Amino acid sequence: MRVFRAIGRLVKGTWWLFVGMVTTTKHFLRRAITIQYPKERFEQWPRFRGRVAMVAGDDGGHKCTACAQCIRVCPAACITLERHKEGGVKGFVVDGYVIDIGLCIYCGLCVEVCNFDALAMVPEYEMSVYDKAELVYDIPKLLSRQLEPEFKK
Amino acid sequence: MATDTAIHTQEFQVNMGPQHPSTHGVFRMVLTMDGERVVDCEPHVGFLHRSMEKMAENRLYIQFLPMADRIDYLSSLFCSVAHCQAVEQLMEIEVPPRAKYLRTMFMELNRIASHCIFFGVFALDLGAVTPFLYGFRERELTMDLLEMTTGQRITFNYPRFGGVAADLPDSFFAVAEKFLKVFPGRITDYERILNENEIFLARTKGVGVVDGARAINYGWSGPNLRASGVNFDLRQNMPYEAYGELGYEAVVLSNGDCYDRYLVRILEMRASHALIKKCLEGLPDGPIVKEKVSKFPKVPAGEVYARVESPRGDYGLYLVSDGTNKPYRYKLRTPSFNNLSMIREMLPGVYLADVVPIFGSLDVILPDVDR
Ligand code: SF4
Ligand code: SF4
Repeated sequence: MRVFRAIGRLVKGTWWLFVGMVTTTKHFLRRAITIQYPKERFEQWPRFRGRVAMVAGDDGGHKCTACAQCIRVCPAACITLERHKEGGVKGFVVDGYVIDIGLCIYCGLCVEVCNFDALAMVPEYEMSVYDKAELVYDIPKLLSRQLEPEFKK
Repeated sequence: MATDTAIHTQEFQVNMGPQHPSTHGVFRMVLTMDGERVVDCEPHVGFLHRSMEKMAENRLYIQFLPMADRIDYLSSLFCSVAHCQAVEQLMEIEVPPRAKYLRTMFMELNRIASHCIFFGVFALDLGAVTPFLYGFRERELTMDLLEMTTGQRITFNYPRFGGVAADLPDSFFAVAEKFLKVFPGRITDYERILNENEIFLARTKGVGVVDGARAINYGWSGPNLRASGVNFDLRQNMPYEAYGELGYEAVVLSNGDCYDRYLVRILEMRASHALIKKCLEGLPDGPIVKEKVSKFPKVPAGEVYARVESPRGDYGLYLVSDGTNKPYRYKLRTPSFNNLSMIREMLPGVYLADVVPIFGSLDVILPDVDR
């Protein structure tokens, strides 16, 4: 009796191993879904939150009004803004706007709270550098990559 | 002079982890062994402690939203939805139906992604490499859907107080349809590879058996609890978001061994697939976020307990507000911690080789244990 049961298990086990092999062979013959990264690249979805960038206005400059809403919301506290008041000008004048990409967690909240469409997330993800200081993005660097118009907020 | 002929054995200790490939993160077990058998196990947790609760108490409610994603990064949407639910309950915000459906749908997608990883990693722990690649391949499909809507692949930061951040893009439906079409076939493939595989059965059937009563005593939840025969699933018993309208029946198995804990998750993937389909069919029109909810809310004083059924179990959040814009107390009840707590009782008596499947079948994730 035990012999029969052992043979039964052997047959059953072999059969299911065979079924498994058939499945893997089927997938083996399919086209590979992996890509060779540095040579080939995935196309990012338009909404992909790569890094923060500044949106250029009509004059090519930034649109920031130094309202500091983005600084208030940023969970990583990686935005610094320098501003001053000037007689005759309504609001503030921006002296400097810096985002430390090394601290940024790419949450996109700063883009969401900005009422002046000054910020956007661009689908850029290769930001590694040899020097940490290069991760600190100032206004020209933040303006360096612009979005296709339909991807803006 | 009588000679002692008995074989004398000596207990010795094996240190498993914190840098061990099968501990899924940094978890250390000091195993006291008698030959091949485990005599005692001393678990050490806390290597991944990031003081999430304290961080929440020092931040605005909205600022913690993207951080909640990092509590359990394999099912990050659940953590941020719980955070939003707690705030919404205190502020008495009614979420629009479309937002509820979107949350539900993406939570189920996230659940599939998480279970895919479990499937792959559990098989990898047992020495099978192929399922690992398959699991990650299908996870990619769900990630695509999540990425095109939320903008991120893992830390979505998708829910908002009173709704969700973004509506579905136009290209979503075609991609979702393709996913819904191919995914059941892929689960069938999973089942073909492992479900009846003799080696897999020998290593998981009857290993690490936990009965329902013990599971309840240890505060187990989620698939682990349901594998032990307890019919409890928050989606069914205390429906939130759109689960009440969609209707959900929990997947319950009875043996409580590693195999059943594996099978529950495979069956839940099918159930999630059905739920996503229902969500897409019944998706109501309307706004995706309640109007006039401040981004920087002052939450009325009070206490609230929000809970969601995450892929790992019952994720609870006890929030005490003192009326300011920061939480006063932010207590997390994460399922992985409770599920892991029984490991010391489960291990004594088993072979060293069974430690890995038992630990793997619990599907704990260490950042969720330590938070
Ligand atoms: S929220 Fe917009 S306008 Fe205001 S400071 Fe930030 S970038 Fe400038
Ligand atoms: S994406 Fe988030 S972390 Fe990065 S700068 Fe904006 S608010 Fe700060």
